[in-house]
Amino acid sequence: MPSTDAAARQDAEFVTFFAGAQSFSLDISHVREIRRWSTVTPLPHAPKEVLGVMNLRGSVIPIYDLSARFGPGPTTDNPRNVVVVATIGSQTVGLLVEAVSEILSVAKSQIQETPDIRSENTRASITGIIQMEEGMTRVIDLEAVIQCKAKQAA
Amino acid sequence: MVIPISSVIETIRPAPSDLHLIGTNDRLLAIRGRFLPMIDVAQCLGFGSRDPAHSPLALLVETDAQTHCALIVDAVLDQRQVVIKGLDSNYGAIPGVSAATVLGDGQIALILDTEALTSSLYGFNGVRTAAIAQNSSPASAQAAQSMQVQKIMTSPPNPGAPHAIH
Repeated sequence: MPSTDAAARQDAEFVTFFAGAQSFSLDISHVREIRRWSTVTPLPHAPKEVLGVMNLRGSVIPIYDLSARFGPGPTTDNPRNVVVVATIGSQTVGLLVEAVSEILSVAKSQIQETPDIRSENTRASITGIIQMEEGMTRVIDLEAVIQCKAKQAA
Repeated sequence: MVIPISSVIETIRPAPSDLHLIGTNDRLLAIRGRFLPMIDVAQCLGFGSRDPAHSPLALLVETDAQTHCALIVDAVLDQRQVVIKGLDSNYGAIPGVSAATVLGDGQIALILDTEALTSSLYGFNGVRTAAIAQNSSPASAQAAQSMQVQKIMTSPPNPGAPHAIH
């Protein structure tokens, strides 16, 4: 079918970054800006991946630690850590990552489905995998990462 | 941490002889012949309990229900007017916290919900707090420690008037 072919050939752009020594990517349409790390105010009763809230030009945004969420543990303090500010719907959130690497442009057909891994939590928030020259990158579903918090808090 | 000044009656540094244990874990503060329940704010918010040897500072607060109780904090920093920023739009509701504000240095302070904190007296979130405190990772506990000294009293722009959320 020509229409699906066209859809598969269509490019998708992702911002890739490292958290917990793993490569992740997020659809570029969600990414608003990349900022240096600044101090956060911890929140009471927050799950482990919510580091706290940060001041982004007068608005209060929550910061999620991707390494605590998907990786081996909380991100270690490092002045080189950066915050990827992302928006979804009317929500603005920050993702703490170790480094932002590149903007990846791939055809949608190159995005592989997440294999049947055991952790349902991970499977829900990683929508796909893109093969790269060196290894692979995990495509994250921002909404699922944020909703996970809502579920735990409820 | 910020607490609306309209709910604060007075601040006192109680003498050790004014503190009384009741039951296994609850404490009462004797003041002018009355006994008020003491609420450790840090513990209530899941930031771990404070050093009992350190002499506490108590904020006497009054809630809408006319009940009085003593909130235990580390220090009172100052009084200021703040602009209230909602947390619901980007994050969601947090028990014990009603909103946030941005301080002069760009840091964010959380505004305490005295109603919710004092209602924990009646078993509203005591169990829940204990469960969450156990789950919290060492890193977040550490971050919380450094925050405990940041207790700030604040005066809303119009004491008594409902807060507008900007």
